[in-house]
Amino acid sequence: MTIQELKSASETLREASEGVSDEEVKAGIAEQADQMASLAEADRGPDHGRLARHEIKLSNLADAADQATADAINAALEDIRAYRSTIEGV
Amino acid sequence: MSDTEYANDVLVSADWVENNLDEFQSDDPGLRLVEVDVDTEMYDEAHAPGAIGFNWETQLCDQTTRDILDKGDFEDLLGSHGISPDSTVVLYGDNSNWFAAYTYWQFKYWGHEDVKLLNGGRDYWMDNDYPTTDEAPSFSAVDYSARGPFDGIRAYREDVKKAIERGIPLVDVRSPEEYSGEILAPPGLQETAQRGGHIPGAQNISWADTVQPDGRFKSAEDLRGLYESNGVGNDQEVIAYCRIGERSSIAWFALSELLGYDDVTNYDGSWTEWGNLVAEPIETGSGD
Repeated sequence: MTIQELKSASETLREASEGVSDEEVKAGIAEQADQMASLAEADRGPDHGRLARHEIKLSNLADAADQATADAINAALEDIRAYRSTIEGV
Repeated sequence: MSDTEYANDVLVSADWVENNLDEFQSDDPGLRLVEVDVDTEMYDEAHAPGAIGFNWETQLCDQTTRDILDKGDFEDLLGSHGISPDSTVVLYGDNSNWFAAYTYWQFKYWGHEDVKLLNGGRDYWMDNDYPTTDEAPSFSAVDYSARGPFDGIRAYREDVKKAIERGIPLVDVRSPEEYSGEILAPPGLQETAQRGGHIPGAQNISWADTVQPDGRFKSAEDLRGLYESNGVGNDQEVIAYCRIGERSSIAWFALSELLGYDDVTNYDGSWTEWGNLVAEPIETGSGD
């Protein structure tokens, strides 16, 4: 079953990556888009630890990006956090 | 056995574990593999062959005293699962090894000599199609007598108070949003505090910056660069903390075990203690 929040994050990141001129940032965002797409379709959803790794990576990319791209990354982060709120944890 | 670039032989690769699966499945207590999870359904579905499953919440914490296990409970847990004081124990688990690292730290607190982490944890094992089973192993019980406690790796709130006064580096490994006080805990996580923010003077160096995208630790050179660029060197004490002491165990492991820093402690009370204390200061904001 597709995890809609992660699918949405992936789509947002994919679109954001297309407008980025910095090749390193562009590749980083595209890589995160690919990974979110994969996690969205995995047999078992990712846990807090894995998603926290992605959040930090995306935050670092947002810091290196222009404002519009950072806004898109932050929107994707909101989707990821919405999904995290549904995962059990201590 | 492990990557020799690090200061200590405490990190093993998935390949090494795979090559030793027969020994991990043997009743001989020489080698033991332990998966430490919060969500133990994952262990029930699939785990590395021979891996014992520990539930961090119910088996590695004292729920009554809200503490790590006492000595007797620690001895009973290990002995009843066929782990002897001479066993080489390899730990791995869910959540990017957070709770496996916490367990490693607890093993060291109670003085277990030879304990290691599987680099990358459960995610790396599963993502790379290493062998799995749904069968839980059963090993003959053995006697276990712990040498500890070794309190030198644990910080208490009094140590934190002194650290604030003396300017000892405090490393807050939580997310920037937790550190600033914007949120009390990551979404979905239950244990929290009355106040948001961080311990005065603490620096925010995320645990996640210690690992590569696949969850394996960064090189020693990169780890050293990460900490030294933030003024955290091996010339003074360092205290790591997070929310409940699990993510800070990753940072403690990186600093103390991988880089070989001499005096690193894990404040396992962390923000759920400090953020709830009466009459103790906090700071808010990004710290920039």
